[in-house]
Amino acid sequence: MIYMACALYCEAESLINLLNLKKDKEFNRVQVFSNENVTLFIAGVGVLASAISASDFFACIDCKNPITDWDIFVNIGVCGCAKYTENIGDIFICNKITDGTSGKTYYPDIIYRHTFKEGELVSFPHIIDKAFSEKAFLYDMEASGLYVSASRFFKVHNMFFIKIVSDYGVPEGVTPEKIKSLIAARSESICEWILKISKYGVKKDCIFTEEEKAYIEQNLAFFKLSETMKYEARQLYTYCKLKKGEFKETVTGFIEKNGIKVSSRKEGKVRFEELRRAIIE
Amino acid sequence: MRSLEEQSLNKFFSHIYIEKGAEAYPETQRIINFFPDSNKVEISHYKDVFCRKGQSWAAQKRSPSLILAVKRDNLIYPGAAVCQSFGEEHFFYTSSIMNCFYDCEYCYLQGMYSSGNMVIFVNTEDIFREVDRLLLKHPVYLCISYDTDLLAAERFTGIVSKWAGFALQRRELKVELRTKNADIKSIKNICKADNFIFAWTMSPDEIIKKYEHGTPPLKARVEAAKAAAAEKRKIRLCFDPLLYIKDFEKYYGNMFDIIFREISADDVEGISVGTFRISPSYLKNMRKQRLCELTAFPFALIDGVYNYDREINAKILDFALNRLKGYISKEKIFTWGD
Ligand code: SF4
Repeated sequence: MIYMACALYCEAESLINLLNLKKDKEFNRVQVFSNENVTLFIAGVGVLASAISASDFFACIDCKNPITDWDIFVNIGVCGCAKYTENIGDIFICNKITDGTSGKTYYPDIIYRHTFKEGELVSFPHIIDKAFSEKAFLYDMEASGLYVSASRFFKVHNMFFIKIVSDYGVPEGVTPEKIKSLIAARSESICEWILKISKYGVKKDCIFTEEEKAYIEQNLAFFKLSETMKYEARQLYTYCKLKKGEFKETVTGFIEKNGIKVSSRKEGKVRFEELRRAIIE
Repeated sequence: MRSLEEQSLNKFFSHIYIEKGAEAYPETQRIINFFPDSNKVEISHYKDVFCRKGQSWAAQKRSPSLILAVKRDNLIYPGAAVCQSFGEEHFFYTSSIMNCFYDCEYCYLQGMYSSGNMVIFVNTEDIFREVDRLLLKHPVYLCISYDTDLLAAERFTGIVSKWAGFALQRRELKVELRTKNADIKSIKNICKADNFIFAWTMSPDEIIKKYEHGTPPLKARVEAAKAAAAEKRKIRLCFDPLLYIKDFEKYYGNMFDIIFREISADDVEGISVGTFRISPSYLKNMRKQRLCELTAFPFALIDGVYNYDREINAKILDFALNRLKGYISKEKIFTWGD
């Protein structure tokens, strides 16, 4: 699943339209829009406000449907820029995010190729004017808060902070209409990239099928193993499956061939050791 | 052919994180110049990036970043019990680099670090000073390539050359460079010193292909060792870790034949032999990082270290030692655990 966060509805509107997201009425503290692959929420303005709503939202999601190591988090929004060498509308991926209040710095991993620019961003708790902007290259009011919240749920290589330059420290001219049109003109390229890389996460699927998992539980009971031995048995079956591509036939075959019956823990331990030897031979 | 996923990954060291203060070192400039297209990001301390929460070792290993830093403490460590000391009394090791270019499935680094990124410490001179301090007390046997393959990074770091030059002027120091690398050109550029030993880890090609991703094939390693021996450099051969795989006798037997057809036992200073072994905490982490037949093996916990059980260990070691004794005198063979 891709989780997107925008501070304002006007930042999200073109993404909602492009991805055909529908309002999700299950959530009442944050506005949420989703389809089967993407869930977008409006995080609110400010480092603290966005951190709180993100934590609230992710905790809620995680309870219902745990967030996995290959789910993706993307913050999309506008930012100010201190350098006139960059253009209004330039898209940046942030490789360093500093919290302007605490001075703490965070580093999202950027392992995928992209065609955007890269830069460092500082999140301030208030609107930044020209005098302040000397302190930063890019600046916004949410990224550091969202990073802190999201990093409790997502891997650092799956967190992306994508910012579109809206001004050079003169935020007065940045109207909701301007934000809408800046993002609308770029949402296609941003979404195309995110949808592409969302397919590539390192997925750690469980090696056993549901049927095999059930078999293991039965088998552990059959051998009357202690808790420590159960752990060792699962390890042994993992090894067997990796080595031979299966383990059920091997284990069942061993039990049947040797006519094994287990009446006590002690006997189970001895029989299990015989099975272990047979598998590693 | 590379998969679409691989094509969409950034190339190695697309990002270089530079610790404040590290930029002043010539090593940093050399490395940065080698990767001119990389994005450079300034950081306060290398641990801010290397030790972050929520890293994926596996994802980073596919597209690692580089961190350049200054090592401030623990410049030299006493040799670990799981490592081969070759009978040396004052055994130490140092890590100029953390993590490796290569990706061996049995490598303990994936159990030791939570990050797949590579850290290079650029203040080699400070480590030299620490070695000199130790040399005032006693001779030193120092392994410089444990938590990495230093020779694999030589083209852009030059650290091995520095160490060889340093060793040349210190007779009481003996340095070992453990490697799987086979870059003969790099080796030829390293100054010759009698107390600087190149130690090649050798594996059968069947194991290299399946488990030692990115490393040179056996033939190339043998060629490199042969070229070093021809230049009268000190060389060692390491058959460590020996792995318990199906038909291990056939694969390791062939490998010994190939190696000693090319390299004269007289040119070899010593041989180390040992089976796979690992600390429990590293093994636990390794199993979390990737599903692999080698590390999923049901090892036995012997004296606080996971190892094959005594019977299997004896089977592998007896086989290897018997074969090796046919090639080289037993005084030159060092077995881990002896
Ligand atoms: S070459 Fe050595 S350090 Fe590098 S990955 Fe392989 S085992 Fe680990």
